[in-house]
Amino acid sequence: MTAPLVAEHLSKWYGQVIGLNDVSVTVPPGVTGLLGPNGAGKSTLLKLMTGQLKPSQGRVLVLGEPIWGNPALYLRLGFCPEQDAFYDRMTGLEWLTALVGMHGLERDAAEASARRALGAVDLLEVADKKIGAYSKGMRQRVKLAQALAHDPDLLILDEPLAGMDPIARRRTIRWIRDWGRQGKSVIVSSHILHEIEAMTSNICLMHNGRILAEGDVHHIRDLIDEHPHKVRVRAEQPRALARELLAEADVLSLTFESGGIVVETAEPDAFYGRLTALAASGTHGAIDEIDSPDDNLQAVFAYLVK
Amino acid sequence: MPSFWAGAARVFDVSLGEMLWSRRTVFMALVTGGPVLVAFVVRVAFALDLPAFRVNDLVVSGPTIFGLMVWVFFLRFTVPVLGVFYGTALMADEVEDRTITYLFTRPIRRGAVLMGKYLAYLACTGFVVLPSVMLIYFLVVPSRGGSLAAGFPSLLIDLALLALGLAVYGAVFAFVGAWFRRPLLMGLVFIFGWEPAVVAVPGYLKQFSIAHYLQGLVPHAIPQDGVVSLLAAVFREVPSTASSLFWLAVIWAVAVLLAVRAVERREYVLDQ
Amino acid sequence: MIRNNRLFLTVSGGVLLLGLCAGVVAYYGGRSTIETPQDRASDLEYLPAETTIVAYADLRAVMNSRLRERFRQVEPDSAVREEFEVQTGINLEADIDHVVAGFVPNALEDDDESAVVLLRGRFDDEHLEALARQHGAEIEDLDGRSLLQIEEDGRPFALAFVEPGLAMLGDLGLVRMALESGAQSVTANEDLMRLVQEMEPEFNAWAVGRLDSLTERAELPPQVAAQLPALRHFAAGGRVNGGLSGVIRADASDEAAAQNLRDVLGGLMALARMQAGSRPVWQVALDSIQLGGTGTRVALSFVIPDELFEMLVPSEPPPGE
Repeated sequence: MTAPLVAEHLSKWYGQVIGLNDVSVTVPPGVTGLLGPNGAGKSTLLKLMTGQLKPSQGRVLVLGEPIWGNPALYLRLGFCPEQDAFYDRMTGLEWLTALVGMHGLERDAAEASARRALGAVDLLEVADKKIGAYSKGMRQRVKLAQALAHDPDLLILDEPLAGMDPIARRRTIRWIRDWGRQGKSVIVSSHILHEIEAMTSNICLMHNGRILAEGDVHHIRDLIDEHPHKVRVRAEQPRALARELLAEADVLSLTFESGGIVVETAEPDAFYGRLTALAASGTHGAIDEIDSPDDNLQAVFAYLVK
Repeated sequence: MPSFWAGAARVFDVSLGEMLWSRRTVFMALVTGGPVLVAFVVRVAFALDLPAFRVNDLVVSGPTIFGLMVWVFFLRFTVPVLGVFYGTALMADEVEDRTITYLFTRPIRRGAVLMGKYLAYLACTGFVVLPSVMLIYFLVVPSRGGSLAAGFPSLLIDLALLALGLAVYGAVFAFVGAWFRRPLLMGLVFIFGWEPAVVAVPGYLKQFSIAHYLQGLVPHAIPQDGVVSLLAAVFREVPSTASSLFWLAVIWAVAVLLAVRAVERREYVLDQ
Repeated sequence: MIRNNRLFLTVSGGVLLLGLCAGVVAYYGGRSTIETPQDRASDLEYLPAETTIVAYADLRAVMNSRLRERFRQVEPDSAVREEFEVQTGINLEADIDHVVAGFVPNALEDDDESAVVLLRGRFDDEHLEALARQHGAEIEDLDGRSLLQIEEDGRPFALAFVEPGLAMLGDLGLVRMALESGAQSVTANEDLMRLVQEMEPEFNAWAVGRLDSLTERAELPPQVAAQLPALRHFAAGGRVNGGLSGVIRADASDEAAAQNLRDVLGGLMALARMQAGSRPVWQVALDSIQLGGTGTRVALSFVIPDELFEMLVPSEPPPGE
């Protein structure tokens, strides 16, 4: 079976700045996580993989073909970008129908595909609302929907969980796993190992424009666990949530910030599990968004590149 | 994979809405609504015979005022300005809003994206400018001895000329926007600096302007007032209709082709 | 298509379409009430083929115009007009619809300029014949038509009723030439007829002709006169209403000659504007003059508003002031 994505000695320079440095990687079928801190070169690699940028050196083959200047490949490729950018005045259904229409589908067929995709990310109820009125989580999901609406063979998702609430995050992780099981190839970038680990054990580690390691990297997990992990939580009742969380032994510190709290935990898995349960029960009000600052991984990568 | 034009048609649909309901539309409403308002005031002034709205204490006929408004407000200002503001922003808006990714990761050529946006620009501006000119015609022309019937053929020519102006200016500035780093500044310098200067000065330089060829299609509509116009009246070299149409078509075709080529080859790096 | 886009295109396109339809209706509706160039051309078949200048005036439109009302006060004593009506039974303002005139240079051996005028309207032929006889006119039968001959200052003139409602008068030789059976008419002159057909339908007075015929009579600025040998034809037409609007066209022998004339006229207009700077009345009139034309054609269009005539010929103040 052809590897869905192959990069050979791939480099990209932005003037004097190196964005990607001699990267060679073969991404196997199934779900693959692209893990690295901000500035590691993940987005540059994904833009090269999706034909938005032209390689300065080397080449990238997507589904066996070069992607730059080859628009026909987008029939088989779906891309969910990182940026929170939309045509806010359009409804979710209008937007998806228009984008799917660009794949050559007639209006009715395009709308049917758009509805299917919105249903797959649980947005059918708000399909006729303007995207500008969507919550952050909804916007992330409608972005996912546009990537999969034309039923591509390869999905490339850039930070798809950023800004989602715990429940949406859990659902999205489940969808990504399911897409992998259905035979699609999925490449997901993130700077949070626990997110990636929840989807796949196949990881590419990136740092400073290079691939540090690839494959089933259990020892990375061990390294992560040795370092305290910070989680930023935006919630309806941050003080009540703080009282609940401080009762647990793995919480090392907790600070308040506008509209939320930043928690430092020694056991991230256990912490994420408790947070998801709290969000589902609604005991301390809604938990709107969780995020992890980069500095968790920075210490690990600093260690790895020594 | 959809054909070039099918792809352009899909992009047209998405882009038209974005253009129509953007902040730039407020500007367009001002530059096209202003003359309509002026026409309305002129009509009321005619009806009331208000001396305040006379020129040099004399009231000119409706068709003359209409001709002046088409030339001064639209051909000399609105059309080039809309060409600059919309043309240079065809790709820049999508890049600035970081929505270009959604269009560039579709199975259509990048050139089709530009073409779809260019067609949306034409529809967006044309369907605002032309009806407003039509309204002005019906407000102003029947006054002061003017006749709707007599002026109708020239109205058709004016409408065609405005559409042609929008098409050519839009194509040129679409290319400028796709190729250069500071397209808006370049565009404003071109329409407010270069064109008025070269059109007024005798010599071959005027051949490197769009206004020169548009002027060749409406020699009767050019008001001759002020020192620059006086000089222009003495030295004017108006190209023939056929020559004007030919060169405008050449400018349009070359600009569109270069713009498509630029977009196909250029990398768009989005700010994160 | 997205709903809002469809709405915009529908409303905007609707306004455009509605305007165009209204314009088309106004255009064709307006045309039907205006005498077309073809209508005018029907009387031209009575002008001799040698005619070099043809002029036309819709007398009724001119007589009924506001401009004419303005000039009525400076017209000669109306007693003359009334006397004419008593004598001939013709009310010049009501009974004549239009006038067509043809000028023929060197038509007769002892003559350097002859003219024939066609009057379309309502006349009492018998009354006019009797009147002519009273004034010593001789009557000649020419192919079944009565030709009334009269001598004025030693020059023979003729009046003929060529068909019901159409009278011709002019130099005897020329009238005879025009009415002779089998004679060619000016309608065979393609250049002149093309210029007639090109006249805008709304013009109620116009003249077309060969330019040499005009320049022999006109006194023109030397810069313009120097350009004229390269010009072949001219056409001038206008619409008399409150003010006066119209166009003067000339066809040059080549594009270079046309461009030269455009340049000269442009310069003259610019200079005239400078001269008229302190006189707003003339400034407005000059501003209305637009120089144009492409190829071998030079065109000068103008609008002289009613207000300019108001300043030249002020209306009589209303009674009581």
